[in-house]
Amino acid sequence: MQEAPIRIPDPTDPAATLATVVSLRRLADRLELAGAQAAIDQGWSWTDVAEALGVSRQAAHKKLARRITQ
Amino acid sequence: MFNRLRRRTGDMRTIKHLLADAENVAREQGADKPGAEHLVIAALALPDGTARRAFERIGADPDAFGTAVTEQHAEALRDIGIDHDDAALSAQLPEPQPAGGVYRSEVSMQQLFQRVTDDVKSDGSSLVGAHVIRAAARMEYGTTARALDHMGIDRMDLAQAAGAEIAGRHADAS
Repeated sequence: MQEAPIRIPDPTDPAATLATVVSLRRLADRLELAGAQAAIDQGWSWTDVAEALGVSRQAAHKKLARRITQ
Repeated sequence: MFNRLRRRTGDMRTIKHLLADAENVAREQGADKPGAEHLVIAALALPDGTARRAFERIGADPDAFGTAVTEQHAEALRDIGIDHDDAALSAQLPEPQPAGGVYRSEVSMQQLFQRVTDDVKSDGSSLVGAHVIRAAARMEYGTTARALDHMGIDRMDLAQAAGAEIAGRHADAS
């Protein structure tokens, strides 16, 4: 059976649309943190993590290093 | 004058407590910085008890607020077809690291905090948890407003209940 596609929120309801954005950001932030922790645990360098996230090494380190166990 | 000084010292202590607690709650949830909803949770934990009583005055459970925050996020994602296991993701998050360095917060928390300090200044009372709840209940949009809606709370009723708690404390102190 085909998975249901992501549904775009009703554009005439900006409150719902913007709330969805906030919830997606929160999910993305939590996934990013869990993923970075797993990567560092597996021996990845911060350069690798940054490349995978598509950001600079400094940006990845600044945002995530103080929040993970090294 | 002495009363004002004593009040200000007490407020500074409360602010320090609130900010540190909001940051800890945010870190436990894997958030980068505390937002308005984390400040509300911190206010509910203040020993003055006024924030909790504001919820109880309107028959709402203050302990349900944190769950309501998570649930309204899950609901917003389900509405667009994303049904994920948030508890499983939480289990993969690293242990919260001790806070340090410059205090950083989301804009929603800065806005809420500004409203709280403006309110305290204008009504000349000591800062209590109910100030945070009253200001949070007056927010029209955002995670906090949606969590309160999710709990079935009339935000204006909650603001009034918080105001009654503040007035009660103010009357006791004078």
